[in-house]
Amino acid sequence: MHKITEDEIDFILEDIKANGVVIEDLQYNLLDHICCIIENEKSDSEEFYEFYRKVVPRFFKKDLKEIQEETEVLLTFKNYYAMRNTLKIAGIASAILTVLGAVLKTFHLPGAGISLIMGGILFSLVFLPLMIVLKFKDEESKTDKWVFSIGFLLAMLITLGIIFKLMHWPYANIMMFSGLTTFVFGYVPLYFITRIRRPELRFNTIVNAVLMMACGGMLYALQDLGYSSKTTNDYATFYKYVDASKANIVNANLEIYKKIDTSKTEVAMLRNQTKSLIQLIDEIKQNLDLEVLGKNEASKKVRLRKQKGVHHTKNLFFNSKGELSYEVLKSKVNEYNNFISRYATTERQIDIAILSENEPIYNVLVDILNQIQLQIANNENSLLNQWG
Amino acid sequence: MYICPMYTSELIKGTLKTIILNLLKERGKMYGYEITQTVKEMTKGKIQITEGALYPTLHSLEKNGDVGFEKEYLGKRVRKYYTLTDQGEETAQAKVNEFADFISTMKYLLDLEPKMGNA
Repeated sequence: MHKITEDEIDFILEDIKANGVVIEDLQYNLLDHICCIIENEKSDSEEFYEFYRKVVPRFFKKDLKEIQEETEVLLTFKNYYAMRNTLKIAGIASAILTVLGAVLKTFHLPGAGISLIMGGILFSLVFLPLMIVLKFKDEESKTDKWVFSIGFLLAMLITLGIIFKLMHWPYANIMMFSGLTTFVFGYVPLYFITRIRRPELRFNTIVNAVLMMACGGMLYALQDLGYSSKTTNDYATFYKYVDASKANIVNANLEIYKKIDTSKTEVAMLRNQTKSLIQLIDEIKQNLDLEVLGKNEASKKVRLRKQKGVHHTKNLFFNSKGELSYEVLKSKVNEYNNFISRYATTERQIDIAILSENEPIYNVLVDILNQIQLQIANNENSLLNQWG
Repeated sequence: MYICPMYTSELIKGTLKTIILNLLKERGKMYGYEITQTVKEMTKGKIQITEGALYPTLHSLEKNGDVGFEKEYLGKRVRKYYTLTDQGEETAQAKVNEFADFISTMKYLLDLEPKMGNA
C-alpha cells in the first residue's frame, strides 16, 4: 500500500483547484477520495504521478470542473420542480383574477380593485420573475436567454405601470411610458433582429413581432389619451360663459357707480375692496396658469388641451409663500368679509375655508376662484342697488 | 456520468439518492470513497457510482437537510463522514417505498409479472 506524502497531498489539492473546482468542501472531498484510491489501488511498482494521471479521468467526461458545475446545478435548481409548479399556479391564478377584476370593474361591482391588483402582482412579481429564472436554466442559446429576460423585465414594468394607473397611484405614467417606449421601439426590433436570421424561427418570429408591435402600439396609443376635442370645446364654452357673466355684472356695477354718489365712505370702500380682491384673484389665476401650463398659454382651449394630467396645487398655492399665496388671499378675504358683515343684509360672505379643506386640483381651483369672483361682483351689485 | 458497466445511466439516474440514503441508513456514517466501494462490492460491480455523480448528489442532500456530516482530520486531509438526519430517515423510507412501487408497476407494465400488486 502506498503511503501518501504531504507533498503529494499538496500536489493533488493544487491540481484540483487548478482545474476549476472552487467549492472548498468539494475540494477536500475529492482530495480524500483520490488519496483513498491511490492508497488502495496503486501497486508499489507504479509511479505516483503516472498513477494520478490515470485515476483522475475517472471523475469526469471532459474535465474536472464538471463536478463543480453539476454540484452548482443541483444546489441552485433543487427547487426547479417547485418553481415550475408555482409558475403554473401563479399563471392560472393571475389570469383568473385579472379577467374577474376586469368583469367586476366593467359592471361596477365591488372587489374589482383587489382582484386586479392581486392578478397584476402575481403576474408581474411572481410569474414573470420565475419565467426569467426558468428561461435561464432551460434556454440553450445565450442570446435568447437575454432577449427573453429583457422582454419579461419590460413586461413586469408595464404591468406594474398599468396596475398603478388603474389604482391612481403615483409614478404610474413614468412606469408605463418608459416601459412601453422601450418595448415598442427597442425590444421588438431587438427580438426581430436576433431571431429572423434563423430559418427555423423565421415564421414564428414574424408572427410574434407583429403581435407584440400591435399590442404594444395600441397600449402606447392609449397611454397619451387626453380629453376629446368635444370635451375641450365644451369646457372652453363654459369658461367663456363664466367670464362673460362676470364681465356683465362688473360692467353693470361700473354703470351704477356713475349714477350714485361715490363720495360716501361705504361706497368708496366697497369699490376699493371689490376691485382689489378681484384683481388679486386674477393675478393668482394667472400665476397658476403660468406655473402649470408654462408661458405659451394663449387661450382657454390650449390650456385644457395641454393640461391632461392632474396637477396638484398644494405646493403651487396652498403652501407657497409670497404675494399670490393662499395665506395672502385668506387675509384679504377676511378683510372683505368684515366689511360685508358691517353693511350686508342679504349678501353672503365669501367661504374660503372650503379651499384649504380640500386643496383641490388646478382645474377645480381655478373654477372655484372664478365663482368667488362672481360672488364678489354679485355682492357689489346687490349693495350698490340698495344704496343707489 | 451516472453509470456503471452493467446498467445504462438512464436507468441509474433517478436512483442515486435512494441508494445513498439507504446505505447511510444501514451503515451509519460513511465517507465518499467508502460509499462507491461498498456499492461496487454489494452489487458485484454491476452498479458503480461515479465520483462525478456522487459528490454533487451528496452536496445537494446536505443542502436539503437529508444528511449531516462529521469531519475527521487526517494530517492535511479532511475526511467528511456523512450521516443521516431525522429528516433524511424519512426521505430514505419514502424513496425506498416509491422505488418499490415503481418496480412493481414496471414489472406489470413490461409484462414481466402478470399480476399487478398495487394499482
